[in-house]
Amino acid sequence: MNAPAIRPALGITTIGVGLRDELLLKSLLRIVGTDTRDLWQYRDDLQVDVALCTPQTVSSLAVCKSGDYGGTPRFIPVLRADENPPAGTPALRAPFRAMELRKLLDEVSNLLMMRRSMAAATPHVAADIAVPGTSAPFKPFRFGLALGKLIERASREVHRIEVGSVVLHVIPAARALLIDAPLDDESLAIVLGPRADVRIRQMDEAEAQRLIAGGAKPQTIDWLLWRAGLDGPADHLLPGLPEHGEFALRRWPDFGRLKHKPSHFLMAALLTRAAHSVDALALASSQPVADAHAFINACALCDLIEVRPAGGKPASRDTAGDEGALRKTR
Amino acid sequence: MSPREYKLIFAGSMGAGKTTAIAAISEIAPVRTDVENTDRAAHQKAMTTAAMDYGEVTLAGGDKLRLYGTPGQSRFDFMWKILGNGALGVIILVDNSRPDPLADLREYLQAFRELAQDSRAVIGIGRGESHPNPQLDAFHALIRDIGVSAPILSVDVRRREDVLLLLDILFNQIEASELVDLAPSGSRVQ
Amino acid sequence: MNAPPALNLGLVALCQQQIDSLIEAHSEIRGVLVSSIDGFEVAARMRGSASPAKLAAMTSSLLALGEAVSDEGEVGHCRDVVIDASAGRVLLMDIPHATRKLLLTVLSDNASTLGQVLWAVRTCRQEIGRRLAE
Repeated sequence: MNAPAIRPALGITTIGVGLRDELLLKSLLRIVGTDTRDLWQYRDDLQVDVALCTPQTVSSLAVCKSGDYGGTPRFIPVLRADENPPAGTPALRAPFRAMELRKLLDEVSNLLMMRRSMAAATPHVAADIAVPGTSAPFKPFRFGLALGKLIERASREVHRIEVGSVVLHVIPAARALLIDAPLDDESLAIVLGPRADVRIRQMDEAEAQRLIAGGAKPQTIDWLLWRAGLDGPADHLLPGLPEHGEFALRRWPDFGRLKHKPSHFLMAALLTRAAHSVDALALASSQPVADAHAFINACALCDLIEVRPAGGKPASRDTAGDEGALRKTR
Repeated sequence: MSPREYKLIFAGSMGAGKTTAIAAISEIAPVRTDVENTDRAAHQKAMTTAAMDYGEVTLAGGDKLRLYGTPGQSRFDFMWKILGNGALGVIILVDNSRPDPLADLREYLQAFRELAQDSRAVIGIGRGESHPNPQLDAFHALIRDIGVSAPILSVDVRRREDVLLLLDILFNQIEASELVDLAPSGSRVQ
Repeated sequence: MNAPPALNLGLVALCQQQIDSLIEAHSEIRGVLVSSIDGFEVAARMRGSASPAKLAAMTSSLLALGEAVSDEGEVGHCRDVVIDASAGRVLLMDIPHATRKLLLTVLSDNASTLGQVLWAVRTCRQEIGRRLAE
């Protein structure tokens, strides 16, 4: 599914897994090699990104027990049928299967990207990044827009965002927030509030390393972008969205992970089916216009919205009669 | 008007949580047809559904949902057809820790193609916390390729509210399709 | 495709032998199948074109439903299910054993009574059950 690009190959080797598994790995690499996110190459030395090892092997046991599954190379335990995977690391079951190997390599690619982002290969220094509108005393959606812009740049470096007294760390390319504890309501209110200053700075290598050592874990950033749209001013759309345009959803928001109200479900269903203006959406879903604004703003910050040229007459509740058989289950 | 009854299907691979999901929301003790699972290579769990699960939920207005869970393995696909007959909608559960969750989804979308094409399907991805790949984008790309538009949600079907979320979204989708299809015109999303 | 469950080969051979002698001794029996409780074919012989793999899954479903119906009706455990069809009969039953159940499916034509078929399959069922217990 990935576009073929010129990528440097990542190295993989085995420690103590036996000749049969090593041969199997080499042939599987040829099979899955074209489908993985990164290119992978078998090497006979330890200058590799990943080493598959049996936890029982004395040498690898020492390495694994040192606890640094996340180091370089990354040690991946190879498990036999009766062994349970150790916590906190991907593992591979023997005999290797193509599908599982591909999945593991992609998982490692993600982890490596995270590490590369944090311990960036090119030494860099901290740099401030301009945030539009920071000079104005009151700027709605300032945080959401700044975060959205930052994510758009898809940088692999760790960025530090200061909003008033709250500090967040973000890896734009991974759409990831690095946090060691969930944001409390008070911090969230500051971040999403209209009055706080927003400062964004690309971190230098040493700072990024300290952050990882401190136990910061990546989590998807969509919930924060979503909240920034939903909790922003509901009397107008985000700057850049035409107030009289028609909007459609590219795909459904992941309501399993996003804060939602029951009315959002019908709005999402309507917008995935046909483009609606704000007023038409409010009418069709029997919700206040403010809620339609907030919903579209949240979807837009999560990059789910498509703007359509104004067109045909949208659906209205009146035309549907009383076929709404389906009352809510709660 | 007397209360109506609607039939919903829970489909998905072995171990994806169909029996669990029905048990999480049914107001009657669910009917189960569990038997010993002898195919431990496919899944480690001790029991597997051989025919169907059945549960019931009464909605606020007195209408009743009849919930049918299908056996996961494709050797039981005759049950998918039997149970799917006359269903209002299908909830497809995907276990992201399986070897190829995208192929799993493709198989069940194919089996319940008519419901899916009629916007009567919702997809729940489970175990995404421990197994983040494939990500939701990949599932969205897959259903787009198949030509289906369906909500895809990260869920944990052991949680009652997550199962109700799937039902709520399924119903809203059906309701929206009625609203939009009855409207005289509109710029449809392709 | 279906994979056979992990059964020892001796037991599979015994099932096949019992099935073969049952079919050879009774012309009214059109097919016999032994399958696992979760719907995998163990051994079979069919005179017609019926698929043992499909029948194995269907037998598992039907007997599981039979158990659920018996349970709901408070009539104890389901022993067998009989399908009376226009051109024959299908008999579905389990091969009793405390821990490891197999299922037996017998297809017959209308030439004999249900009692005759039941009598004919009794030895087959008992013999496999006895070997399972060993």
